[in-house]
Amino acid sequence: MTARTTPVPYASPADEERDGWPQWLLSTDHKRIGLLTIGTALILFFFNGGIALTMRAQLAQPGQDILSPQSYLQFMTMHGTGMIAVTITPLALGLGVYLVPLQIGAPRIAAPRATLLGYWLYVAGAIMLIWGFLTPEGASTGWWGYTPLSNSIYTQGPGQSLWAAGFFLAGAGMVLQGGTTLWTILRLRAPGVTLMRIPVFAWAQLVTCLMVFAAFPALLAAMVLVSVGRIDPHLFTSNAWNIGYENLFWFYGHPVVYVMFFPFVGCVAEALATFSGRRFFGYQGTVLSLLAFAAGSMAVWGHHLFASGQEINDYFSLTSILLTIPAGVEYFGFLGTLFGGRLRYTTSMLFALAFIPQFLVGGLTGILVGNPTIDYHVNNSYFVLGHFHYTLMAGSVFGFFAGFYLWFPKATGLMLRERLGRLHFVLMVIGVNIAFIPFFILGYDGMPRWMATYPAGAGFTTLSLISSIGAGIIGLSMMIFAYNLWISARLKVPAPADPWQGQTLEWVTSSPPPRYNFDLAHPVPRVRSYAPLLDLRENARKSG
Amino acid sequence: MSPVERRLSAAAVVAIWGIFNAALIAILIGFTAVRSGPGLDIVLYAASAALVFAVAVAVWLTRRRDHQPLARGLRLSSRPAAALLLAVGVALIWLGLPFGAWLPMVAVVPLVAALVMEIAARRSSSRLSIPNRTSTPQPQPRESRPTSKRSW
Repeated sequence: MTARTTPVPYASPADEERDGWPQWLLSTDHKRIGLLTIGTALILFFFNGGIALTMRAQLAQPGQDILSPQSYLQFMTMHGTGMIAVTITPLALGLGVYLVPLQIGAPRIAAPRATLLGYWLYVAGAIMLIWGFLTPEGASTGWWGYTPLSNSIYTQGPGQSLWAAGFFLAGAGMVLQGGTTLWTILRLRAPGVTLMRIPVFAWAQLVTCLMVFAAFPALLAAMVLVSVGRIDPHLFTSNAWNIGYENLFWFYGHPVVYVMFFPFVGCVAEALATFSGRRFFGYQGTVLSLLAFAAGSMAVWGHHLFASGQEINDYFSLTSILLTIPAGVEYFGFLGTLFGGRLRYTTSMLFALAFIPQFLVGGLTGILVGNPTIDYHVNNSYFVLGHFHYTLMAGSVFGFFAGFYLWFPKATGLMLRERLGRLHFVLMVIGVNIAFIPFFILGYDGMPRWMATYPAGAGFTTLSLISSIGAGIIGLSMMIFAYNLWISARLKVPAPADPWQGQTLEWVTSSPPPRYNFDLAHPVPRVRSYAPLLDLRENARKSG
Repeated sequence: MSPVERRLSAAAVVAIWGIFNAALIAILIGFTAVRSGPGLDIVLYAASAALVFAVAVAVWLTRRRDHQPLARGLRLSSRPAAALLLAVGVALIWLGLPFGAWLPMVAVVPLVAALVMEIAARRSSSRLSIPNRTSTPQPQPRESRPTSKRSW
């Protein structure tokens, strides 16, 4: 491999970090911060998943009293807020913190102490959310915390205040992590790495971080409003305040769905290209569609207010449905990459392949609820739950696992067990589809969300039971995943620098990478496209 | 490097994204023309787009000032505990909401400690030694005071 003369500085081995836990917890190495963020979010994924399983146990049969109606609302609030604010968003941005500097040939992340501060604010936010959940009067107003329900008259006790504090802190942490990742892409690319030569994953992170920067301040303002409403509950007597709060919240609340989606589109794109042995198809079109998709998704928040009658439904319906165009371009890129490739069905590839049809279900049902006439019918029903669980669980989480199995060897220097990975995949596909397909039928038949139980004669029993069985299978698949991590850590099968014949710069360095990502043994090669390692392999093949 | 690549600078990409948003705001204004006065939705979206343009300007200005920041070498990131202390301080301020005003007062301690550490970190900033492996002349590390303990 020909190394290029480059002013990227390489640290000497003496600059490597030590391995004690204080060095980990206070490290400004973006890889450690990224791994801490992803690790914390994965632990919280199990916690919030456990909450979901409890709710599904409650709903498996009518008239059960595993949870009281009030406890059910608290579980629902924690599950929603927890999954969005402290689980999937940090997974999405943590991947960026870890991978982006590696993919653009940078030795570090911009403002590493701000990135570390972001992690600790996120941890503080997660602790407060869980603390609030564990108090006797935990937050029970949903993950949106609408006013005046969330003020101190209607929701008493410290739980709701801790919820607002936790949501604010976690959001602020993500702004810092997203901001530093954004600045890294914009300003710290290695020489020769132009923006049209960064991988699709880095582009996905770029648009994600732009959205974080543009949308998350609205969340911070909304949480300050909730807090003021807890201090002075008479603030929200005017309906203008309540509609204002809804606008502020959803100005964050819809873009965050895309923040939890675009990075995983990037994961899927990288997995598909790597395991097809082909360059990602339609790179420029995909980049343009990512920019357009991200901008469009900033303009759709009002569709959450269709039923309030306080928004311009025509506009928000139009923008919501227009999103299908850039989404279609991305799908075209996925399929074009697969077409004619030499496919290798690794666990990562399987998750990436399953993402394509499953996310399509989430996306297509999104078009339905983006239409006010249909939205009025299915508003606040299980249909909406089905839509966003297909988007986030069957889509984003599958994209995450595609990335996790792809980059785990790079991050740890260890290989995961492929057979266990495939078992995890199979169970998860079965579980997710059994759990969430019934939601569409239940919702269309009128089953409302937020109900701790339902009448035995309502016709919801069979499908609810099937959905609960599916949730149990998802839980089992996650146990397999945890076992895979544990056994792989014990067996310690070493990973080479490039176990998959990767195409992007992170595969040029050692597994795990050195403190400053590249060193004299693993220098940054000449970058002439968004798949520099594929270029090198092709050049080597041509020159015999 | 193609002309498109050359023109597609970081600032340009952010500005293009801002323009996409501005176009959507213009359409929103068109849809709301029948409504009296600027709605909160427009104000909110416009403020957000302004933030995006501010990022574009910041990128453009910093690029003019410092064309290739990596070429200056790696700055050691010292006293990262300041980040943890700052997070603790901010969390204590927020805990004042459910548990009373005495907690924000306690927050002064970690916040002042974080500030002191930050000042000390800026004074003792130093750069990594860079092995001379390239034919490109490497800028020398700035004059720096040796630190007794390197923390990352």
